Amino acid sequence: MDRSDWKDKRIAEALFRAPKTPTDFETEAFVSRVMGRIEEARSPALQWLTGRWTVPALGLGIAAVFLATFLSTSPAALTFEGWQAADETPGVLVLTAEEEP
Amino acid sequence: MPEEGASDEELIDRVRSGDDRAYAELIRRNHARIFGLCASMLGDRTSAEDAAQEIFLKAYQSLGKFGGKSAFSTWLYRVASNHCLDILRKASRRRAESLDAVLEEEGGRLERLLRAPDEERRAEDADLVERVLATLPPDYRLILTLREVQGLSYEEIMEAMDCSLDSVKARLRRARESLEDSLRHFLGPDDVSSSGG
Repeated sequence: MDRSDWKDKRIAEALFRAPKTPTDFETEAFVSRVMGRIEEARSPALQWLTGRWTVPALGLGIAAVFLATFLSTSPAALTFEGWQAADETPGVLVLTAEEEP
Repeated sequence: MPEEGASDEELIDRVRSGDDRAYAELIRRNHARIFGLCASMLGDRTSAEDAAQEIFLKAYQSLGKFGGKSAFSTWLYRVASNHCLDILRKASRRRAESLDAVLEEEGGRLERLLRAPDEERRAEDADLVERVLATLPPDYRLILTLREVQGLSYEEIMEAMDCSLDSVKARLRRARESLEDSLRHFLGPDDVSSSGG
C-alpha cells in the first residue's frame, strides 16, 4: 500500500463513516410515508384541497365577500356632490340634497 | 408476501401494471442505501429523510425512463446523486466558510480525529466532520461518498454519475488529492513512516 492510499484510509475512516442503518421499524414507517405521498399525488380531490393555491384563493374570496358586504351597507347620506364640496371647502359642513334643513 | 421473493425486474413490471405493493417492496430493499447516501451527503438525518422521500417519489414518477440496462439500485443511485447534488449546489451559494477557516479554528480537534478515528470520536466530532465535508465541491463529496461510504465499484459509480470510467478515476483521484493536500499537515509525516510505505 503506497503512501497516498494509506493517507486516504485515515481520511476515509475519519470523515467518511457510514451513518447508522435504519431499523426495520424505521424502514416500514418510511415506506408508509412515501406510499402515502404517492397516493396523495394521485388523488385529484386531495390535490385540490391541499394545493398551494387553495389558501390564497380562499383568502381572496373571503376578502371579496367582505368588501362587497361593506360597500353595500355604506351610509345613504354620502353622495358624490357632498364629497366633492367637502374637498373644495374644508371645515364647512356640507349638506347633501337629502338633508336640507 | 409474494413481493419478497421477486426480483427487482419483476417488481418493476408489477409497478408499471399498477401494483403499489411492489413499489413498497422496492423502497424497502433500497431505503438503507439511499438514506445512507443522503445522510452522508447532507449531514443530518432530518434532511436525509426529506431527501430520501423526494428521491423515491421522483423514481416512482420516472420509472418509465428506467430501461433495465443497469441494476435498479444503480439507477436509483443516479436519481439520488442528482437530487443531493442539486441540494448541495443551492446550499453552496449561501455557504461562505472555507476549509482553511475550519482548519484554523478546529485544527486541534481535527488532528485528534484523523490520528485516532474511532466510533466514539466520530459521534463527538460529527459537527466538525460535517463542516469539513461541507467545504468540498459537491461533486467531490458525492464521488468520495459513493466510493468510501457506499462502497460502490468504479462501474457502479460510472452509472450513478453518468460518466466514463476514466472520468470516475480522474475525479476520484482529484477529490482525494484535494482533501489530502488540505489535511496533510494534520496527518503528519510520522504516521506515514510508521506504516512502512
